[in-house]
Amino acid sequence: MRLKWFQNLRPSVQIFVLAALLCVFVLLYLPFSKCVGSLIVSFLSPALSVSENISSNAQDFLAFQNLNEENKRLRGKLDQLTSQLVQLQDIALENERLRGLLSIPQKASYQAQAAIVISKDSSNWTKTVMINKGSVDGICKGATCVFHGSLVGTVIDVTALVSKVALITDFNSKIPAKIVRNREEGIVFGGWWGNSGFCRMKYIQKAEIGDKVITSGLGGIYPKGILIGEVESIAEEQKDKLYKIATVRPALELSNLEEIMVITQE
Amino acid sequence: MKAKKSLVLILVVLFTMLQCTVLNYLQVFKIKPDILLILVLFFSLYYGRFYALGVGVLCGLFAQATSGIGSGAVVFVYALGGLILAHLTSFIYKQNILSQMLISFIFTFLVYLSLFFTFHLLDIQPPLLNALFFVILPASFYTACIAPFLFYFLKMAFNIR
Repeated sequence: MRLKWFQNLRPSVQIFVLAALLCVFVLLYLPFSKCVGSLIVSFLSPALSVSENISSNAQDFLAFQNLNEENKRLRGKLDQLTSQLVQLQDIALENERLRGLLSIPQKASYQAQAAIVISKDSSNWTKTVMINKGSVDGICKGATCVFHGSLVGTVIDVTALVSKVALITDFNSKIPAKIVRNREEGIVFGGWWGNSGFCRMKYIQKAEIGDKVITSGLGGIYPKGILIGEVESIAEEQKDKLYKIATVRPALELSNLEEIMVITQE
Repeated sequence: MKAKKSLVLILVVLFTMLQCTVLNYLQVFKIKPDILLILVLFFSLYYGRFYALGVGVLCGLFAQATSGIGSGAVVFVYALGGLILAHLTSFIYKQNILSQMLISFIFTFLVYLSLFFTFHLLDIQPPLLNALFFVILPASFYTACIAPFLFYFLKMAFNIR
């Protein structure tokens, strides 16, 4: 009834008025977008947590039949890793002793806090996850997230109880990295390609398939020495281009993350 | 009237939850259907401009809050897309599955393309071809495949023949 004057307008004028109203709303909304986003996320987080648990459990149940095969494969891997661990412990002791002889300070270690992934990105554009820890737990924007010693991403948004983490495959992510074998430096970045579960690395000289890629620590955003992934393929060399491109498979399957560790203090 | 508005709000919350959780397990080539956009499409086609605008803004707010896209780009594009579609609804045949799929495909394609160009305004400049072939087209197709089922469910919920 109150909108009779509006209904008397021509349809095209109605559309114009509504579009103008929308523009005004969006302009007014912009300064408050973070507050509104935080409110919505805080309101949704309990429900999202339950929903994610249910869907994750349902998927686990469906994957139950492959468990036996996976168990055998993992037992083999465990044996292999146990022998590697013994060797590494030996090397670590030797390294410690030699560092002591040369008076080189020990590498900095970091403190991390465990968080549970309560939901994944709603859009097809970005690759983010939400975790159940926020500013009250000491999480701050820019904190690095890892899992099992491999890089997951960085915190891009923090509310009191929930934080948003941009994964390394997100198209906004750019990570200073280096290849372990030859210390070749480059930048690992996310984006949209055939299978967007991969990253790419820009480098200058030489990389080989199977090379391990770690964070270089340059720029001070990501701590040094965290495993990013492995070189999966190398793009054909293009003439007159300064950089070469390699496809990097992340060390973790980022689409199945359930928990992560957020580095709170270095 | 109030009951209908409450139902709309419940649906937006429910669809957001599904979009963030269950649909991640239904991804094909890392792409999932955009069911929030289907909701905007449904209200634009069946409930006119006001609902199109309202649901567009609401879905945009929820989609933006639960994704990594900053600023008001999603709110603006979803709501404006819904509004324009509501204006054109009298020219659209929407009674059979094929036409519903076609409308959903075109609508998602145009909304995603607009989002892509809005990213450029926000100084995020992803390459067009990558975005087109690995995000926009597959997402439009997948959304179009899901749309008739959700239309059926929504028509039942709102008692539309």
